Parts: sequence; structure tokens; C-alpha cells
Amino acid sequence: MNARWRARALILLMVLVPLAGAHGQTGEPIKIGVLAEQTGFFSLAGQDAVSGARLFADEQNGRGGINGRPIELIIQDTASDPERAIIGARKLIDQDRVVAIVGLGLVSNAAAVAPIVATRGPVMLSVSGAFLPQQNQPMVFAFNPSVLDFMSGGMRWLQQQKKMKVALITTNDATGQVSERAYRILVRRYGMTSTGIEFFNPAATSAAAELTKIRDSGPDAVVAWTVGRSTGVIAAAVQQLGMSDRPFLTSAGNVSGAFLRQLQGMGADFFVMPVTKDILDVEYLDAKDPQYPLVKAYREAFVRRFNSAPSAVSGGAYDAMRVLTEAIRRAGTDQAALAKTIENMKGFVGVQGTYNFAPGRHRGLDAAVLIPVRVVKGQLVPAR
Amino acid sequence: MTVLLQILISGLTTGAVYALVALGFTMIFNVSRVLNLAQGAFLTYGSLVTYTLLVERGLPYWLAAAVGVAAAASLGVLIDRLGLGRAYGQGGLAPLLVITMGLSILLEGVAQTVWGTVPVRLPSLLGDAPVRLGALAVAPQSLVILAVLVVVAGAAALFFARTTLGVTMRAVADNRMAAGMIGVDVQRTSALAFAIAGVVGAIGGILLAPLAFTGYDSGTLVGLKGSVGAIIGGMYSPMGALAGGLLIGVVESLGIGYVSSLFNNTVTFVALMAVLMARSFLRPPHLEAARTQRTRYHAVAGRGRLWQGLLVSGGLLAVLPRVLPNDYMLSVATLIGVLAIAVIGLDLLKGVAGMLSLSQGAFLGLAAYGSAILTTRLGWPPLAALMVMAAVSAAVAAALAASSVRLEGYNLALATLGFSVIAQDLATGLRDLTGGASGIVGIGAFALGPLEIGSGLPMYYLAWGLVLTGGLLMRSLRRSQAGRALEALGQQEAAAAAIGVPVKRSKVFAFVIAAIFASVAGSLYAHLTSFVSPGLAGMGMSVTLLTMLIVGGEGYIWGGVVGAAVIRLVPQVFSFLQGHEMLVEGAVLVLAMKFMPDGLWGAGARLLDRTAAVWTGRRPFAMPGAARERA
Repeated sequence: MNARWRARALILLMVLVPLAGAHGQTGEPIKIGVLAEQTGFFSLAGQDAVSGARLFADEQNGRGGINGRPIELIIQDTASDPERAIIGARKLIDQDRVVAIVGLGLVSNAAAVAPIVATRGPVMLSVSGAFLPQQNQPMVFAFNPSVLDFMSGGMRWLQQQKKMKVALITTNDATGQVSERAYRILVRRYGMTSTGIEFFNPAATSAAAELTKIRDSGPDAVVAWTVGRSTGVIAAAVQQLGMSDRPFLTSAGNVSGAFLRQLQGMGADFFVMPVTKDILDVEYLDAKDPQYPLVKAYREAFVRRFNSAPSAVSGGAYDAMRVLTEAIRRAGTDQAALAKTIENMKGFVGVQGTYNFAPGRHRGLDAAVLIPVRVVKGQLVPAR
Repeated sequence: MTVLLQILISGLTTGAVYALVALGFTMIFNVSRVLNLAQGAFLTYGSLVTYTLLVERGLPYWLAAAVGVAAAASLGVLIDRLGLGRAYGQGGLAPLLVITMGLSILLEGVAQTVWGTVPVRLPSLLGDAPVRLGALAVAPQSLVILAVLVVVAGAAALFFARTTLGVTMRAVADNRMAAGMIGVDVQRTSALAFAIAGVVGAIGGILLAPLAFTGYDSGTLVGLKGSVGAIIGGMYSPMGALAGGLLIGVVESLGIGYVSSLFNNTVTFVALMAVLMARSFLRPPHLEAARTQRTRYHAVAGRGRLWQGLLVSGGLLAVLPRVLPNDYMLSVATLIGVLAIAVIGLDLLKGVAGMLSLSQGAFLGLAAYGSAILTTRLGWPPLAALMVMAAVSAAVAAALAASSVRLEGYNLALATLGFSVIAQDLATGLRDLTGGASGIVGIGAFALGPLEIGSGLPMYYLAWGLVLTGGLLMRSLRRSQAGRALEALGQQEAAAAAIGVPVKRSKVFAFVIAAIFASVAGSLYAHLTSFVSPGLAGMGMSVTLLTMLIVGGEGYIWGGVVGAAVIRLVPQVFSFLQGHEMLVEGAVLVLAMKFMPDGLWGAGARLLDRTAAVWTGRRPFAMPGAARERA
């Protein structure tokens, strides 16, 4: 009897709840979708994208919204999975009818969603450095320096340090594929020698076997282009193999206060990361820098709100929201006009740098904005 | 030489942790007859509880670790009592498997809610400075891990040989019923096995955290690899499990060092499949396999009122798009239809012939990739690609089935799981062909000759038309001689063989038919989502399809369709949880299996029957699933 009622209740629940949740709504607020990797292996960065977007939306709503309309963020998880990203994007587009989609820091997720919004919108503002907006995707924009730019910022520094024999270790996912391509280009550009390239599974618990092969190829420096736990796995293997005497170049995606403390706890001071200015403490910035007041206010607000320092991805999401807001203020919510407006923005000062878009140039930043940093006592300081 | 030694040490270190997981895994399997897919949770919770107490609360290491281990042990008892509990008596491998999988998802969700997503690290016991032996550099933590493994192995040997509890456990493992008759508390022994698995798992997790970091999702893959180690070790002895775990670690490490790091799972799982298949041909199936097989009374195909049913459901499906509020809902409905096609095929294999296959997703992925490549690169018409891929899938399925016909129960499940993992690895690794991890984007719309189907309403009708056609085909197949032979095979293999059912041929036939259904679904999936990536071909998709079948109700033809709808809709409905959907997904699986072991279709049929019985005052029919052999 009891079990039957429970079964009935469960079925009723399963029938009624979707029906209850199915009705749509329209209204006054401007809906912006935040599609981000809140769970899965990229969640370290994905959660920060949500934080950056949230912070700006709240600030802007405090200032009266956009043209008197409040911003409503609709946050959707991709679980770091491209299929879930596509389904999430369809939901944001067809059900929530959002004006724009912000987020998608993981290249595989961004590349999967881009064709859906490519020509008809809503405009997509990705914070992935590895993702490249295509020429035939007028609605798609990117708000970070590219992986090539990031890595270039670091390799330029290696060249200055006379570290000319390098090797690459990265994950065997889409991020790793893009990193490998960038690495090969840069080795040639800076006249370096590559002693080896290794891939490992982002879910692996050890990279010691791969790093052994790299160690025995004798590089002066290693490019370890990974994010989150994979970087931790590399750090542990570096110490295990006694390789901490040389610099390891890694992605700015690892900049997250809590994670840096973990690396610091193990004395992993061999990592060098090329980062944008908003990642650094303002004391390292020139007070006359046009970004200075903006970065200062942003960092203070971020720490107040989330009790941790901002990361690379949160700055990208924050800037994407700022650019989007400015574009909506000027052009309204018509998709073609919106894309055109963003495309023609020049000299827009953001926390990460000054954005210059143009037709055929949908990534607004370049390598000039990058500064190589090290982790010292849990703090980021410019590398010398 | 140094490289080889370095690689061996790294392999032994990870292998030692796999070995600890494998030990717990075999204990649970032998005492409770459950393949515990939630094994990874012991590592996660053990290490994260320790982290909180040690690093955040500043407790001494031994105390923090002790509490972490105790927490994992309690978690083990909770899984046994609360999670599985009454589901034990309801028999069947698959429902228990689905429950432990649900628990694994649920526990991951809880860990994410409690600890967040930042990976954390525990300090090494003896510091981080490497111990140098000539050119060899060894992390002191590696030595600690190996030493602990030796101690645990010794303790396990003593425990099983010398203590009353250990002997009791062996007795229960040997013969559960006899042990119960002579007064052994079987339930308590089962809880104890889970607790011990929790303890060794947590030790592994705590020891690995300084090398590999830990986080809410870090235990899952280690848990899976450890389980593979247990199977390779033979599942029936603790020392075999330990050896199997170590072996997996070393093989994996050698594979990375000398084959390619792009295919590291392939090496492990090829080894697994080779061992399983070789063993199945070298010695007769273990008696245990026959003993755990249950007699089950299926719904006789076609007992319901077919035409009324078809008319009503066809009518509902036809008007559904008019009711759906937006295109997004329509695309979700279409996707459910596409997946349901693959689930209907899987039902023949699992629901009818009783073969627990975890390769259905691999065939779906194979066809999705095939269609993507043939249409985008070679400009083939979509329909031709679909048909060619169906033939290719059938051929691959025949080969896979022919080499694994002698595998039964869990062993078959693991061999087919291995096939899925390898398929995903190949999709990632063969980058020139498959686009690697980025997959293939921009796949065009499906078309029937000159008729473009698109992804809107026409695709919806095509998908659901195929669901109904597929179901009807399956219905007549099950009434044919071949279908009845499979049915007999699913009930009692030995008996079926005795009355002249061609066992091998029937099994291969079931595999091929299932693969063709998966293949059609896969081709449509690629055109519908316009995108394929390695995740589509992997274990995740296989497990999802199986879950849809079991939750919907196996053996009912239409049960899997209902399951597909429910499993796909739950995350949609709960998307407001914003990244915490895992909590609901896991809970739904566990609850559905505990309270509806026949799935939604079975429960629904029983509900209708009882309601009708109350209405008319007759006695309820004995519904399928009601008469079961109690294991």
C-alpha cells in the first residue's frame, strides 16, 4: 500500500513538475544568459565567469540598469560538456529568449555553441582564450587574449631569460589541441628548440610518466598548459621528479585565490603565468594607467562580494558584460545592430585591457596586455 | 633504463591506490553481490574530510585522517543500509548497478555542494623533497603509499585467515544462504564489508591527495580503474584484487611511456578485455554466474491492447508540438525520441536476452561520427551515410559479440564497458579523422533524398515515427522464433541450450540488432545537434542508455521510451538548481530503482491493473516482476 502511494507520488511528481515548469514569461528586464562550466573539470574557471558576470549585473542594476531596464541574468551550467552546452544554449535562446550569451570559457563548449548563434544570434561573448571566432560567425565575440597571445607573453619572457630549449605538456582534450598548435607556432617565432610534446588525461591522477620523458629530453623550461587539478597533478610530479629548478609556464586559467593557496602550500614557486593587469594587485600598476581606477574599483568590489581575489576568467566575463551593456545602451536589443555596435567598438577600456574590435577582428585584446607573474607566498608578483 | 624504472615507480604508486580500491570492491562484491560503482566516493570523502580537519581546522594529521577514514566507513554502511537496503531482496544485477551509479552521482553532487569545486591538496607525510637513488627521483609519498599497501595486504591476509569476522565473511561469500542458516547475521556482514571498503578506500584517497590533489569529482575515475583491477585480479580473492590493481597501474604507466599518452585508457581496457575474453575461453563460466541469474517473468509482448495504445500515444505525440511552448521544448522532445530508438534496441539485448551491455553508446557514437565524417568531408547524402553506418555497426557488433559470447553477467558488462572506453579514446586520439577532442562541428540537417528534414517539426515526426516503427518491429521480432529463443536464453541459458536454442548465434543476433538501432539513433543525433564529440561515443552515453532502459522498465518494449523521457527531463526541470542538478539526478535514480525495480512502465502497469481491479472488484493479475526468485 505504502510503496504504491510512494510510486504514485513519484510518477505524479514526474508528470506535474515539468508541466509546472514549462510555461514561459515575458517582461520588462533585459535577459542575459550566462552559460558557464559551473561543474565538471573546468569548473574552477567556470564558476569565476559566473562571479564576474554577477558582480557587474548587480553594479549596473544599482546604477539603474540599462536604459531604465534591469538586467536579469539567467545562469546555465554546461558541466564542462559540449553536448550539455548546446542543450543549454538552445534553452537560453528558445525558452528564455535571452539577448546575449556570456561565458563559455572552455574552448570545446564555445566551439559547439558558436555555430548555433553564428548568424542569427543572440550575440555570444565568450571568455575562452583557446576559442577562435570564425569569419562566418558575425554574432560571436571573444573577450580574452588568445591562447597564442597568452603563451606568447610567456615565451617572450623565456626568450629574455635565455631559456631556448623548451618542451610542452598539456591535456589530451580540445584545450590541449589548441595549446599544441600555439606552441608549435611560437617555438618557431622565438627561434627556440622543442625537446618534446606530451599529452595526458585531464582526469589522470599522475603525470609522472609523461614528465619523465620530458625531463630526459633536457629542456631549460617547460610549457605546462593546463588548468585546475591537472596543474596540481603536474606540480606534484615536478617535485617528485626533482624538476623544480626550471620555470614552468602555465595558463592564467589557474589564477584563482583558493587554488593558488594550494599550489603555494606545496612550495610550487616554479610556475610562471602570463596574466592581464586585473589579476595583479594594484600596487604593481602605474597610477597613471587609464585602467588603474577601473581595476582598483573592480578588485575591491570583487573581494568584498566573493571574499576572494578575481581570476582571469572573471575579468573576461566582467568586461564582456560591460561591453554588452554599452552596446545595448547605444543600439537596443536588435541582434544585428547589437553585433554591429560591438564590432565597431574601439578603445574601450576594460579591466583586462583596452578593447579594439573591427570587422573580421572579433577578439578585442592582444598579447601587449600580458605580464608574466610568479606565485610568491600566495601572492602574484611580476616575474623577473 | 632510468626512464623505465621511473615509469614503473609512477605506475606502482597509482597502482597501489587502485589496489586498495580493488580490495574493497571485491569484498563488497563477494559478500553483498553488488558491483559498487560508488567506490570512488570513499576516496573523495575520506580525503576531503581529512583536508577540512587538517588544513582548515588545524587538527593533528593522525586525528584528521582517523576521522576521515571513519567518515568513509560510515558512508559505506549508509550506502549498504539506506542506499541499497531493500533493493537487495528484489534481485537482479542491473537495478543494483543503477542504484550504486545513482549514489555515485548523488554523492558527487553533495561533495560539490559542501566543498565546492576548487581542487585541494593534503601535505605529504614525509615532505616533498624527492629521494634520489642515482638518476632516479622518487617522491617520499610514493614510498609511504607502497609501505601502506604492504601493511594493508598483510592485515587483510590475517583478517581473513585468523579472525572470526574474517572467516564469517568468507562463509557468506561462499554461500550466503547456508551461512544465514547456521546463524551468521548476513546483513551485518554486508554492512561490515562496506565499512571495510570505506576504510581502505579512504586510506587510498588520503595517501593519493598529496600527489594528485583531491576534489569533489576526483575519486570517480580512480574508483573505476580500481574496479577494473579487481576484475582482472579475478574478483574472488583479496590478494588477486590487490595484484590486479597494481597491474593496472603499471600497465597504464607503461602504455603512456611507450605507446602514447593519447591512448592511455585504451591500453588499460584492451588489457581488461583480453583478460576477460581469454579467461572465458580457457575455463567454464564460474558457477556463481549461474547462481545469481534469476528467473524473471517478462511482460508477454503484445498482451496489452496494441491498437488502442498506438492510437492514443500516436495521437498524443502528433499534437504534442502544438502544446509545447517553444522550439527548445520541441528540440528536447526530438532528442528524447532519437535516444529512445537506441534504448528500444538495447531492450532486446538486456531486457529480453538478459545480456548486460554497456556498449550501446559506443555504437551510437560510431554512427554519429561516421555520419558526420561521410556527410561533411565526403559530401555523402545523409540517408546513405546512415545506412552505411548501420551496416558498419552491425559488422562491428557481430565481431564484438562473437568474441564475448562466453562472458556472462558482470564480466560481459565490463568487457562492453571496455569497448565504450576504447571507442571514446579513439575518437579523442585519431585526431586527423575525428577532429580530436574538439569533435566535428557544423554537421548539416538530415535529408531523405531531396527532402530536407531540418531540426524542427519534420525531424520530430521522423524521430518519433521511427520510435513507433522500431517498437512495432521489436514486438513482432519477439513473437518470432528467433525472439522466443532469445527470451528463453534470458531466462535460463543452460535450459535454453538444452532445448536446442543456438546460444552463440542468438546472442550475436541480439547484439547486431541492438547495434543497428543504436546506429540509426547515432546518425540522427549527429544531424540533430549538428555536432559530435568524443563524449558521445563513451562510457557516459552507454551508461545513460542503460539507465534509461532500467528506469523505464526493461522487457516492456515501450518502457525504455518512458525512461528516456524521464532521464532527459529531470535535469531540464531542475536546471534552476544551477550546477547542483547532480543532487536530483542521483536521487531520482536511487529512488526510482528502490521503489520501482520494474521501472516506471512496470509500476505504471501494476498501478493500472490494481486500479482496474478495485474498480471492477476482481483480483489483480499477477503482474510481471511480482514473481521473483529471491536471491
